[in-house]
Amino acid sequence: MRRVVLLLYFISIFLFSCQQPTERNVDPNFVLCLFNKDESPTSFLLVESLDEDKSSTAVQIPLSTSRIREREYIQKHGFFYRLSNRNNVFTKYQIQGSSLVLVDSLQLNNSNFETFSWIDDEHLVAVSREDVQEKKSQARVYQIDVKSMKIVRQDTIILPYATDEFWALHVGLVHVDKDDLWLAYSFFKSKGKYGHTTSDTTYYATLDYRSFQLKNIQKETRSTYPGGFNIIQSYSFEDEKGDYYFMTNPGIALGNNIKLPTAIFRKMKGQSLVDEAFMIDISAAVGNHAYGLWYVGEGKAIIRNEQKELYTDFSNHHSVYQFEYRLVDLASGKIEKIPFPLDKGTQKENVWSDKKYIYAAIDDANDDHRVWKYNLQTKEVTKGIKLPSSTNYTVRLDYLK
Amino acid sequence: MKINPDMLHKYASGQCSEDEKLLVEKWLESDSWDSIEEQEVVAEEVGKSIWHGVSEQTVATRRISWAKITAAAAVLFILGFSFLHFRQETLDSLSFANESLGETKFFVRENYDVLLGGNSNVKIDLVNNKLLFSGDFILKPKCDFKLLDADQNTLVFKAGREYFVSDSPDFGKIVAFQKSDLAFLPSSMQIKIREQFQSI
Repeated sequence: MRRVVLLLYFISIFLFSCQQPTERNVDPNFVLCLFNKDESPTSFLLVESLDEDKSSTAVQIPLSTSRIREREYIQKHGFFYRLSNRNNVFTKYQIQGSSLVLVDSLQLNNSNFETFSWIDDEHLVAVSREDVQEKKSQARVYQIDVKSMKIVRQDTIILPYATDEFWALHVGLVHVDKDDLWLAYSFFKSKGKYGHTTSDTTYYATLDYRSFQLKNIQKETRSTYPGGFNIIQSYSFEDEKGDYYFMTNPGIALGNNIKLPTAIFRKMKGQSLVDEAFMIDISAAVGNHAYGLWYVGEGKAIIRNEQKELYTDFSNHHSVYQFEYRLVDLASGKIEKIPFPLDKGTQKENVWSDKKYIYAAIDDANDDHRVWKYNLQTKEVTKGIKLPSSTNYTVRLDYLK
Repeated sequence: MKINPDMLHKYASGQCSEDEKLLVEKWLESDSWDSIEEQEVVAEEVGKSIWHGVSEQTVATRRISWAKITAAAAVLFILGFSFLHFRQETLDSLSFANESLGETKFFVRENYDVLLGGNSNVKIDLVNNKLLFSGDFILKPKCDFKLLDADQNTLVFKAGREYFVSDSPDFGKIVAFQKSDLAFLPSSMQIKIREQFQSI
């Protein structure tokens, strides 16, 4: 297959080798990650603007062909960070012109990050789960200075409450607030050959970040699965006041304990514990599970919900046009539907906001691939840039600046 | 020795030495995310070729170069005609079995390659367009064909692509996911599929 892809690639280069590009100096503000039709390589589309009316320049970069993990990267200020699951090397890439160039790399001991957050622009905190030894559930925490690509601190933490039945750990969220390192986690078990389900409880662990000593564990039984592989999609944010909000995801596509609701929770700034008085029950309000949580300013966040009457099971969850976008008022819990076209693709990181508009890259039922805009003041929906017709799924939209 | 565009050109046209071929295949199979060592050369070409497609989408006023489109269509027509004319299809009905529990078995055949998972068996009947199997396998078709599974669902397979086929009840029904669709499954499912089929 790769030979065919390569052949087509070189034929296309041959056919268009006489083409003189007119505007090649793109200074991109955004990058969209596109899964393309006909198994052609995943690509980055670099654009200056998401607005349709501006004659924005754009350039597309093909990535390699092994794309099952190609959307699993961390992007910050135009740098792309990625952990190889084959050799445990943490790499840093940068877009230079129309190329993605390897800048630096760092050897780690783990092959997958379960979750991450940024302490500041230069310090990444990332958590992996480690092999269970003597039935203890271990998480490995790394703080990496991404400017010098050095490990600032790292340690292994044993997280309690695994049972004989639910023994496998998923660390969903990590957050650093002053000297506290806070983790949200849950336990899952295998079901059949490929399936899994999550236990009914979410755990929040607070540690002293200097000593890595466990300070306390808080249990939450109203919802479960705060994530466990949150590299792809956003599930948490800090608002203007520094209060931290996050969403649990027990739906079929993530935790797979569908009786419990998708819900938004809050940890107030300076508090070690999650605010037990606060919970927005998304499933009760919209009758479905949701995935993805993006803050758009002024106490409002976007969620992306599935529609259980439109998909049947894992076989078509990603391919049916079912995903809706809703605006959640965090203070009142009021949820409002945004009239975007129905979208396809499970777990997409495709929402960005400049606090005036919400931009969402949507793959709709007319095979139209486009960024759509929602005006937060007027509630008007308008069209943004159209994406190449070769697109199948627009899996990410990242702001580079 | 490093991968460079010349080597990929040679690989694509089947002119690589065995050493070079191994090196390119290793590179293609690796988890490398960046493109080729000589970034500038390739980037230039890629930028040029892709620019054409992108600018049609994003810049409203561009002239269509009918001469180039005609040339491209002619090349594609000749290629397509050659394929149809010289290709002699021999449809067959073959069975494969892998009784080992963990290890995969790889079979190379005229119309497809099969990578059979542990404790799995498959009968691919291209004469009657039927598929009977139990377990999991990766199918890499070398020509297009459609197969009717045991539940009377038609599964479409296209040449040059890779499919993960499974009758595991964990998916709800018999599935034939294209490789790219696997990226949308929950991470633990992806990990288990990758553990079994290292090449996916």
